[in-house]
Amino acid sequence: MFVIIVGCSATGYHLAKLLMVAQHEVVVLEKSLARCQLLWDELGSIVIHGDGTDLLDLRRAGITRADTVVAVTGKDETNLVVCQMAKHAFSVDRTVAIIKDTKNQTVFRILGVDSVINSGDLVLDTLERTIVESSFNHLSTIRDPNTFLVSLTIPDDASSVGKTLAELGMVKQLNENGQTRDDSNPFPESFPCVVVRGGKPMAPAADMVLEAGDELFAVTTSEEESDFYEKLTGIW
Amino acid sequence: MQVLIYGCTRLADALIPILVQDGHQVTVIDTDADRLAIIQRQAGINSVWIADYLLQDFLREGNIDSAEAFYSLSEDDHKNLLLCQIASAIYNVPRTMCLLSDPQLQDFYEPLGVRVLNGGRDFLSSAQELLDQ
Repeated sequence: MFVIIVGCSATGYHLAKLLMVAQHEVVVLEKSLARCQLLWDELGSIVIHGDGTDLLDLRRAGITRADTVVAVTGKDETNLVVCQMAKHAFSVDRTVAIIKDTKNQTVFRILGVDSVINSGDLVLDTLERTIVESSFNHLSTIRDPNTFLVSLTIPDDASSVGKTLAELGMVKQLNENGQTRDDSNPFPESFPCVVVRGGKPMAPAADMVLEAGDELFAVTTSEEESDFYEKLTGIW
Repeated sequence: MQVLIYGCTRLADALIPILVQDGHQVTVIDTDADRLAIIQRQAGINSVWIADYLLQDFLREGNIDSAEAFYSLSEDDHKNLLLCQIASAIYNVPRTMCLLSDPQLQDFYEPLGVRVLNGGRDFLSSAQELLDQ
């Protein structure tokens, strides 16, 4: 794959190295000449001194045959311009932008950027998990920006130990007419997918009794996450 | 008309008195509190100070939801482009105009539907045209 990276701060630099190791063709566009001089020693001639929002410089970098353009300059708005140029002027297949402001995520998507990576959120998430131990382990985002796949090991002192999933309101229950009981599920968007007990994965069922040490994989949303967590552990 | 302007530049300085005189309600937002303080001394202008990373929050504080026209007049072309596109794509502001100093960006974005302003001699007249529609 041929990837053009626009902006070569720490992120761009490490990404370039990673991609080269993985045998991809990489060109880096960096606007600062001083930075370029440092990079030429490190990365060699794949670094081009130029502006990623200049059509001529993009062409010089070989954008007409690029498969992917990654915009990792430090500014959200510049990353947007880079991606829009790549998309609309050169029909690049895949454009990726890194953003700092969470709110830009939806905007960039609407404005045609294929993948938007929210560096601010990633850092915050990690920090939150490091500092506040009592939360889910976030594994993956299913539908951005709000639905996640999470995991949790049920602690020994959890209030949910010894209760069934039905008692906890984690699975839908049917009434006598075969319809879902409205009161049976306080978390319409969250549900357990797999419970791993003693290394053995099991599909969650209404009568499954939770044990301490169970590893639970679940889907949840940012709105329901804290209540869902509280239900499973008793920890607020 | 409710007009929202981003950027307290010299061009904004020139445009605002005309808009106020024509009876428009003008709100100005900028990242520089000092420049806003100066511009606020002009009669009939609301100003909102914004911090860089919170652009969208402050757009809302500047009542972008009810704005009928939006001008992006800062010195930063890229920021102008981002804000103008947010104004029209997210907040459905019916009239938006974007100041671009880079001719290449002007040529590139005009076909994509961004109404481009340049800081040249006809700046005021083309800026006013926006409100006539």
